[in-house]
Amino acid sequence: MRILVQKFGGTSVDTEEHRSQAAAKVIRALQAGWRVVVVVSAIGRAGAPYATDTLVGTLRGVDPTVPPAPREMDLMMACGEIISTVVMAQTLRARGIETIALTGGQAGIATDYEFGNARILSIDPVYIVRQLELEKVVLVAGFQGVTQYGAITTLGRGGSDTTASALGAALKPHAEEIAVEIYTDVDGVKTADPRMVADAITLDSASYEEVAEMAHLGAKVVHPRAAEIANQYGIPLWVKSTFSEAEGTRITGDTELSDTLRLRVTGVTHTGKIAYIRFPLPSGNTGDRQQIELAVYKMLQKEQIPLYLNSIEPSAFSFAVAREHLPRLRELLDGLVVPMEVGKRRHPPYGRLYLLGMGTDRVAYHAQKTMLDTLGEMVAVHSVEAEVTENCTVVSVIAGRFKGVPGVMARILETLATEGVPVYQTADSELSISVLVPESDAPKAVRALHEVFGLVN
Amino acid sequence: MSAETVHFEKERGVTEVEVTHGIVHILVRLVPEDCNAQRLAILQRFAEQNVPVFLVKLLPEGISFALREGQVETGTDLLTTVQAEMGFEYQINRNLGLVTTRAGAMRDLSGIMATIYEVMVTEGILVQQTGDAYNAVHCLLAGEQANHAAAMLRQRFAVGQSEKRG
Repeated sequence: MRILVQKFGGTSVDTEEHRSQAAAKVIRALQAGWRVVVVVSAIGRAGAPYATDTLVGTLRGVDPTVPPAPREMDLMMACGEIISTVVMAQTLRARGIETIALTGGQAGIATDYEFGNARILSIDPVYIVRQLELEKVVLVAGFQGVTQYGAITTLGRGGSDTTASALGAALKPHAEEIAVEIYTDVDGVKTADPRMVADAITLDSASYEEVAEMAHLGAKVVHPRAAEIANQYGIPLWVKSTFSEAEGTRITGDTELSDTLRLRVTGVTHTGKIAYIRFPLPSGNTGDRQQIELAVYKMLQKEQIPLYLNSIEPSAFSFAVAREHLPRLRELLDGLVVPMEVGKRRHPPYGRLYLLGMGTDRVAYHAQKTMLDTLGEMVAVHSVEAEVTENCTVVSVIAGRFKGVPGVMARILETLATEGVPVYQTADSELSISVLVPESDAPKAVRALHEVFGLVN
Repeated sequence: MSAETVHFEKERGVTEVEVTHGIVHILVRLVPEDCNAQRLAILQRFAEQNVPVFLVKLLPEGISFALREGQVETGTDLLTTVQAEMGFEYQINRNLGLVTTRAGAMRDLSGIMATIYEVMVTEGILVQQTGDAYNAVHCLLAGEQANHAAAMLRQRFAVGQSEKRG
């Protein structure tokens, strides 16, 4: 049999009209001879009665001072998908279609125990296959699975896309042909955020790697976990709109794309509210840089704050963090003392210390400085005051193999210089080049780069 | 019919540590007043001569980037020519190794950088430049220390081996 997995996002099932349009996609697939598995997300977005955020808010609202247990939080969140799955099953049933609605666990999806961000370990597709053989449409609640001992887990961000892709992989051995369609409210993978670039193009095709890269760097297309699974198992993946007849974007293996497509810029993305922090060190003490970095990174590790865009200069180091972490980072690092070789010398100074300053008013720094000043010449104290650039964001050019062509970075910097957009730092991966720019300049930067790389219609 | 026992998703955390040998690092010190224009001019010259650069870092008073060892002669000639026009200083550091630590979603993980630095400081290895992407952290080190650094990182992150030539 030919099996098609169709995934419908929250906005595709939030009203009767939208569910009707989603149902039409299922009916069309049945008419085309597919056996259909439908994966459904929770109805609507924040504020809607059964949206995930609403359910989370209900549980947290019981007593804001007592955080819910992760296991119970997952149980609550999973309800959103279960409700929308049953509603969608009834929508199809009302149109004369035989259906069966399943939770993630009933669909055979086994996960690990990481509540809130579980990873799919295995899928037993036996029950789904039997139902498909009985010519039923099988509806599976997205975003969830079950542990070995029956606790319901949720898969974290992009969970329903991941469910769809993983079901495609699990059902592949049972199908003559398999495909996964991700339905959303845009008609495919765009070359840029259409809110920033009105004439952004919908790509006809893209590689799994390009789409995963775009998704990681801010494009809200298909979750990278789903693209990675589809890539691993060679599952054809489509991104389509529930609300149009547009062909959508076919996501496929890199080798299936033409040479022209492989050597193109795929899109321009933007992501993140970021703070960029630079620690200039006193000249002549560059050998101590690595120890100071380690002390700083350990503080971030302790608070589970991810850092990125790391850079080293002969006498400085810098990195970026999500802006939401900046207040805590200031508390952690302001007044931090990093000792070097204290006690190894026979004559004063008996060692040297670095005192970091980072607070808005540097209260801890000044308090420490007052105390350290009493040491006089016994220990050399060096102040390191952080330079913080708060309102940044990352704009990325997804360049695939084109990234290896010399001149892409120069073209990006030249374009942004012409537009008067300052670039604080750059980063490059195998498939993309990213620049850190002021958040207020992000729309200008995205539009300019979109145009200069020929992505306009 | 039986359950699919294959792993559908990547393991969490670090999955691989790779070494790429034969990397050259270039540090150019520019005049602060004209830094942006000069950085751009340098990158454009490299592009015109088809010399790919990576690990590009914008410094307040300059720029740094990496090349493959095979491109170093062209790169040096280019820098000498541009230097004569602009009058900057540059430093070329050869025989480096790039140690790449890979993870599924690096930017959602905390503590990777601290662990890498802990290993480097413990082993007395100087990291000369770093770079990162959503799936990797790169550390540029002296070439003769790269394999040892990677071995220590693999041990620390409990992963297998991978080596490339630059």
